[in-house]
Amino acid sequence: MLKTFKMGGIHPPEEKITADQPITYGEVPTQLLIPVDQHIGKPCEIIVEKGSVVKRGDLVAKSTGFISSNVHSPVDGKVEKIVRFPQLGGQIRDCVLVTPENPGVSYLEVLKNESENNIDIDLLTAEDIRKTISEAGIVGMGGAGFPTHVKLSPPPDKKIEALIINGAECEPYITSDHRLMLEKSKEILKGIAILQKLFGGIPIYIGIEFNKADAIEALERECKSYANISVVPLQVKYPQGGEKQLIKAVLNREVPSKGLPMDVGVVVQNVATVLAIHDAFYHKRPLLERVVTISGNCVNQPGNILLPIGTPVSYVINKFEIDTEKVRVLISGGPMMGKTSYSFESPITKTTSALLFFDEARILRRQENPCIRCGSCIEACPMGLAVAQLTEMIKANNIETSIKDSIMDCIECGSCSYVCPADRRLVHWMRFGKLIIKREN
Amino acid sequence: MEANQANRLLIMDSSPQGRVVESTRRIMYTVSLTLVPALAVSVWIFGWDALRVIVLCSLFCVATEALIARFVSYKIDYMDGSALLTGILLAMNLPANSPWWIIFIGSLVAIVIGKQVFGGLGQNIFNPALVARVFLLISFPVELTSWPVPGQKVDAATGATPLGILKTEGVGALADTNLADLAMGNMGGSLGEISAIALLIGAAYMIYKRYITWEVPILFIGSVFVFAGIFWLIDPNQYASPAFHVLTGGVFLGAFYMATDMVSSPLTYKGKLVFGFGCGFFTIVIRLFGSYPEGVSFAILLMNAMVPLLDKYLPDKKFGMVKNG
Repeated sequence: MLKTFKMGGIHPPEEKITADQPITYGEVPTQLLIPVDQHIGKPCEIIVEKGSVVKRGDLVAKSTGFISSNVHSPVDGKVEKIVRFPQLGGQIRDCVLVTPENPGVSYLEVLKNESENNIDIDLLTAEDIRKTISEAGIVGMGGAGFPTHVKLSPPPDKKIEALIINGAECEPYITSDHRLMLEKSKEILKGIAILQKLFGGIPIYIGIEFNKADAIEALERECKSYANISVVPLQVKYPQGGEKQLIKAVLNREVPSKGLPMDVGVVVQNVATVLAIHDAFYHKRPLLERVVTISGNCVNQPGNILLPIGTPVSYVINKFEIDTEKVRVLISGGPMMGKTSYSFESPITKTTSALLFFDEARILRRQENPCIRCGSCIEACPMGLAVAQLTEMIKANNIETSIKDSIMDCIECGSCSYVCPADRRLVHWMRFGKLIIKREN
Repeated sequence: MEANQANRLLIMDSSPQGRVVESTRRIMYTVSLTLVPALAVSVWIFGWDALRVIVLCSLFCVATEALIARFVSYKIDYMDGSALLTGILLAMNLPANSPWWIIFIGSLVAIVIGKQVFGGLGQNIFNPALVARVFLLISFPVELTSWPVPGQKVDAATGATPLGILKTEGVGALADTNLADLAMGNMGGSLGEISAIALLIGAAYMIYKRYITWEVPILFIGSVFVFAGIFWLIDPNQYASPAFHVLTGGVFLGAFYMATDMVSSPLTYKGKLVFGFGCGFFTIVIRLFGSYPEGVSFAILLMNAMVPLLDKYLPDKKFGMVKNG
């Protein structure tokens, strides 16, 4: 019996149609729009100005505190201007508009020109490791974008006993982590080894859902040359990639309400993040690009592609034969938790795992019908929350009771809305309630 | 030109994008369909009279809801199947020889007093069909207790239900009652209280579709069996056997279709356990010590009233309600 988390969870159609499409490398785009605010935490401070000349890997925006993250330019080029521009998800943020010096040059060539350094992990100190990761601007690439160096710096009273590498990739359609695990398994293991060194040789578990049998096999093969690193195959169930669910599935430890993984002695890192850590050490390269799955029913040639951060969505339209006439919904991320966007010119960020293009059949804007108390939302909730009642409390502005009933534990996975037969926008109301509570405090 | 452009704009919406195919309509119509075996048995036993009751109940209920929909400010989808289901369930609670005006009053009470005064679908505290049944039982005791005798399709023949016989004549009068007859539906009673097996077929499908869960029916039937059994063991000459109590009256209809009504039953696991147990307990208390021969409807309505309390004080276990580690 494969491991999984016990409470709630759903089985949406997997739709991983790009699982067999190897990662492709495009060309350097004609323009990059690098957002300076791609993480959770304090916004960055822009350190370039109109006319500045930047090299690949140069800092364009500097972190302004501990919980903040650097942003670099992925190309050699010139800063055209600083603009406010709609992001994927709709917010308007400052972006650095860079015109590359060498547009059209194969991106693979750019990568090949980089040196491969040999480093001796044993000589690295914990301080070095955190500093390198922090300077490289690495954030959680699974979606949340929390600065990685912060997650790797638990307070001294929290003893970290295990590290879990998140290869669950439970969202439908997305295959970017899957392809990384297949094609970059050596590099991922090297990255993991650095983290293992940081925490003093603790056991490391790589959690992968069983629908990626080839990735499980590939990583298991690589694990053999390392001590104390193992792959944990998991049942396929959404939202297994949620930190708390993954910890429950892999180690059967339950993160307490309002707590963090470190409260049960665990740190979770996504596979793409681990690869970025590898690159930061072995290529001396900050986080400059990421693999993005291009899929959806308006995409004629769906696939996976490595894109420099800041590439506008429009760049992939011709490459993947996307029928823009038909597209009505553009989702960055997966269909369960991803955000919709209204501009094909918005740039991808460090956390864009997928760009999905759907026609309007995907969103049927139906009216909310009355709740018939079927209990599906409660059954589906991986946090065991009484969603039907919580959403009613929020609508009635009964904030106190909703806090008591743990609304803040909602992970916004969307399972409740997904299963609701009455089309109620449950997770939307949960999110709304959490927002009100956060604002009041 | 402008309209054309608007059609091409991207849609912004809150996640998730996509949902299950399940819908309120689908649930209501599927549950209605699972009642077909039981309805077929009732037509087979009571003849076309039974079909007349079913059709009239469904028609009156949907028509009442459609009428209300014309006069309220909020939207009522009277074709969502919920009014139809209430109608069918009400039919299953009536004798096959019910006059049309009884059916009409019952439908009116079910939809207006049972459901819409609370605010419509999903808001009612009590099971609408049971509200109507109890209203009719109290208001028109004669019409509601003249049960057609199975097999005799002549209008005039009416008799008592096994439970009625038990109440008025005692255990001795039931000597030649055959449990197999009770399970198959070969007895006097309302449309839906007669065939436990046909109801089970429909209920099995509902459990498979997860429209109902096992807690309420099992605890309901189980506690009826246990409490009836306790009294039977004390004095078999005065009290009927637990098997008799489980198979007669509306226990199966109540346990699988009335008590499990999504709207008027608890949401939480422990709440469901207490709810099912309470239904069975009060059924036996009313049957053995009350003045009515049958207690299922009253027991369920009583427990319906407790649902908000059960949901509030018996919440489900949440994730992370543990000490560290």
